[in-house]
Amino acid sequence: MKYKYIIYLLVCIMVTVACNEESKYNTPDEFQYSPKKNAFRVTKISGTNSHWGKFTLTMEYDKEELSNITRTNATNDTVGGIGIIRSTSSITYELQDWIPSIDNDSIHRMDSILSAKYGTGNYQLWDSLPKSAQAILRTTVYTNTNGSIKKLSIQSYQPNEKSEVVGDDFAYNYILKTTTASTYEYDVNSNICINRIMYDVHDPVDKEIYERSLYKTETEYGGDKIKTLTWFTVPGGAGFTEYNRYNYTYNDNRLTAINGTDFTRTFTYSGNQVTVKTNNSEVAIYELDSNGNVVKMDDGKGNVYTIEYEPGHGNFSHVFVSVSEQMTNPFFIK
Amino acid sequence: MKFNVFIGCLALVSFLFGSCEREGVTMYEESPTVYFGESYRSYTFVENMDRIKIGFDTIKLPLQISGSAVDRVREVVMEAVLDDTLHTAEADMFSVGKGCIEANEYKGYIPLRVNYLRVLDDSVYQIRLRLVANKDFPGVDLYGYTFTVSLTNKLTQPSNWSRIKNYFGPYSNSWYRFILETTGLTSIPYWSTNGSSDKNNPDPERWTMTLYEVKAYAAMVKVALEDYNRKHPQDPLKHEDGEEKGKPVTMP
Amino acid sequence: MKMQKIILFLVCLTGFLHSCYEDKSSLNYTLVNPINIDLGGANTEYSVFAYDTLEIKPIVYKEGVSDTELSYRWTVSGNYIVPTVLDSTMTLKVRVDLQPQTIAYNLLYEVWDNTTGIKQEQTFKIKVETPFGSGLVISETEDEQTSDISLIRAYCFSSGFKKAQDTTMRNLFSLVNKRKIAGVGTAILSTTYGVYGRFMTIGTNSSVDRIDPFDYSYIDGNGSSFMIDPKNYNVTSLGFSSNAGCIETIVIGGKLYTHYYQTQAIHTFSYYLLTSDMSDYRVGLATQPEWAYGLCFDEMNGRFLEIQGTKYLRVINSKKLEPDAAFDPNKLQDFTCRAMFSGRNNITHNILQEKDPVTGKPKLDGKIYCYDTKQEYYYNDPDLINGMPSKIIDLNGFPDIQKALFFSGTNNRDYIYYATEDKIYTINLIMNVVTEDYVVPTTESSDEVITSMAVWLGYGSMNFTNNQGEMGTTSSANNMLVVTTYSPSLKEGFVRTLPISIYTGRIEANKDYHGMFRGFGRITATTSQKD
Repeated sequence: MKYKYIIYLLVCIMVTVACNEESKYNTPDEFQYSPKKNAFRVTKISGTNSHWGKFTLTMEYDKEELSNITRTNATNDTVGGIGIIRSTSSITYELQDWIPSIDNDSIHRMDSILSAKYGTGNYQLWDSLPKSAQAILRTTVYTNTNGSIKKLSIQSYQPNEKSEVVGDDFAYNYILKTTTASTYEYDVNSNICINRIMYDVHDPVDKEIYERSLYKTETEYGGDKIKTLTWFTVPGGAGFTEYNRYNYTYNDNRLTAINGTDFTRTFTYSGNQVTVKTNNSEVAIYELDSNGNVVKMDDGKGNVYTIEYEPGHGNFSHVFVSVSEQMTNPFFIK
Repeated sequence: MKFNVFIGCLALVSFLFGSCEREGVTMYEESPTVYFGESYRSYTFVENMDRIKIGFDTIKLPLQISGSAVDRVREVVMEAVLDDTLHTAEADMFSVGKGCIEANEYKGYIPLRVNYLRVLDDSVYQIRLRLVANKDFPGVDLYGYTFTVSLTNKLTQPSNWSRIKNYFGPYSNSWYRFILETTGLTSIPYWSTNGSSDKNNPDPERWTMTLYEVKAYAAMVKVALEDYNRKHPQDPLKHEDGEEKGKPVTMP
Repeated sequence: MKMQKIILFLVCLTGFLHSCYEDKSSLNYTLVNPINIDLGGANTEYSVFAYDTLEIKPIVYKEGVSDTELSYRWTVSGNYIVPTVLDSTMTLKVRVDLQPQTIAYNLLYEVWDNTTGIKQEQTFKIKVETPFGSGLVISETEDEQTSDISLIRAYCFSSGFKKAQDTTMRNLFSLVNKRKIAGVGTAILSTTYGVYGRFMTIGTNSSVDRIDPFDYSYIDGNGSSFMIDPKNYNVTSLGFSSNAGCIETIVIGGKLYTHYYQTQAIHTFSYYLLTSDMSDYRVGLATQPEWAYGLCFDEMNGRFLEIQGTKYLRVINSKKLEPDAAFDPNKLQDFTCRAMFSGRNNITHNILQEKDPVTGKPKLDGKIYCYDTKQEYYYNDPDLINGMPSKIIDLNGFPDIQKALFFSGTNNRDYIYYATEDKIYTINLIMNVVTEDYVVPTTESSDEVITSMAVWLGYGSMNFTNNQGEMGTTSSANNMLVVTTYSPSLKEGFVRTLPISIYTGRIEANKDYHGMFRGFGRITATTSQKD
């Protein structure tokens, strides 16, 4: 009699087996990307640097993305901005300098005309000058379908020497200096583990001619902290070859040193100040607020900035701070 | 009743797992065949006088296959047809070597060693050969073709004369000797237009001459013939043997 | 009974459920990351000079797979070369040891993921350019025993050149082949025929050399340039018929040899051509027009012979002459041929002069004529008009004709140019009038003498005075004379270019439009290099 139940059981098992199709079909593993959001985002940077002199940058955001940047100078004229171009898989941010499109002689002449017309001090020369927006930095961000950044292409320009010349040889357009294209690969913890870089130095006369070098960084993490950063380059005609390895030392969960071949960077903490010394020569000092944001920066080269923040996530650092910079100095503007 | 249940379960089991088999795809199996690339080769020590001193030479008889190339070496076996009445060579005049079709190839060679003997000076001997089926090639020469190698030290009509007849005219031993003396060649190894690189060349290592070189040599011989006839106005050069014996030599 | 029913029911149930079991075994897959070949916006078409370095730097990776699990291969193929593996690393840096060709080579880049065996490919095109290029090639000697070749690239000789870019590259044969040419150049010719081949043949009084006109590397010479070694390499002329017969010709010891171009099999010269009637011959000069079989003059028998491709030298049939024919092409035993070149309206101008029967050379003050023969398209000449007589032009009344050393003309004008040691005259054949159009200047040296004269047939542009008296510009092909001169006192050779007016046929009078290149040895032969 008991056999009956055993048989029923057996049959039920076999039935289950017969209808079990699922076990033979493996669902593909999809990389689940969880972005790391910042708690605060920069709204204002004021300071002086060698290119802009005294300046203030004001940032605006829309849905956690940069929507506008305005730059004003010592006399509060708006002298720079940002251009944003969107396409299906990328966004290009162009940080622009607004510069006169006429030479110095013409500017003086205009000044004289306006002065004669309105009297000295009764007009704004800057407002009357014809201007052109020239990109000093152009970054294109390519995103994957899961929202992670796939590639970042940063083009760095420099002002034209001929903008100081008068007459026929005057030219104001900025010259493309370098293009750095970085492609990111992520690990399962959504950290960038590999960064593949194409670094092009452009010919000043013909920007289509460039000298390209290839680099790669591989980052090893311990939890969320970087343990090592290995640098690779490609000697002519070969493949990626390791040439430097940075080891990260922590004390009390704070980064204290990065050591590599011919490279040392130390981080010394004192109250709300961090002193970053690179190769025993360059010293930069950062002041942090209670939330750990950098509110004051002195890079030891004459550039001093004060930074203000508001709560919320913004992509300022994704666009303007390169990943290798972020990985070798945690004190950057977010 | 228990027995019935047992059978029922068995049926279930075979029912369930019988359909898990997937039918394999059966491959098409061919029967590879090997056969000779030509049917006749003449070998004369006249053209290879340096081999007389050494005492022997090796002829490579060309082979071709039907069926696909495979990725391993396949052996080919050949034997003399001793009971063929046309087989006149003596045993010490030759020995059959080991032949093969190399991996991934459609052609190959089987070597035949021929030995120099005095008797070859004024006679021509025939070696009749055939391919033998073996495990690599279960099929050989479906029509039972035999390969003939004619062996001598006498001057004989080269096996490719049909390919150069249009440039040198009909054959005779005396005319061939005149050609070889004029050109300084020991043979005219021409088979197809582009020589060794020609697709239709059955033995690129042997038939190395291009059509253009044949024409150049023919022009050279034509001038020599013209010269000879001018020097012997009443007595032009004639064929001294063969089918054209007695007739004056003509070139197309 | 009940038990059996239950089991039967269960069996049917299982069977029913079983029928919806599909064989999903073919759905066994996991999504795989692709192999990425990132060119970073770089082109896939490259252009390099032969012997330059080619560098291609892609970044190749497969997410989730270490770089060490990838293998690479760069293979170049195309233009009939054996496919060659250039490198097997991620980036390519290699010296281009490929022959320059007009068609680009194919470069195949293959990347394997060794963990799965999957391969990704990227193709590139590599165009290999000649480091030299188009221009005027000259054969010059400094010691009257050996010679060398030099290339002049200039506005008037090369396409796309501005006057400021004129360059001269000297002694290129010895630069590339580490030796001089073993004789004094008598003829030089650069020829090419599609994908079949290209040669620059250099003939001297005792040697033959053939080099690749793209990079001047040695191909063969002397006996190895022939199927049957002629044992004599005294070259008197070179020719090329690109259409009629596809042959390059060389005359050695009076015999004309042909190199048949339209084959991949072999590119050496054949046995010399025989005549159609097997008679002996000794060729002096030959001319090979574009669309008709060539013509040569048999000095031994005083007759014209047609160069019928690789077949034979055809004897012209005197029996087929018109009753009022100007002359019999087989009855010219009193003459030696001074020059042969094409004129307008499918005519060949043959300059014949009475010869000394003993030496075969022109008789002192021997009468000199232009015997015109007809040209007929090689593919359509059923009546064998090619080589038939047209007319005789008497040149004897023209000034300094007995001092003439060189004769030439263009195939699109009714003009003949003849040069003495220091003057060039233009004959207007229609008006039967001669003008002294050029005198070798004494500004560079006082004793410059003309060493050769030829009509330019290569690329380039030239300036001339148009019919409004202003400067006109046109292509130099068939519109320019290339004259080489030599000053014994300076021991220096010159190249002078003289535009020919497209309106009048006369040599350009405005000396500003004449070209001059100097600094050479004694130039004995020239040819145009097209590309």
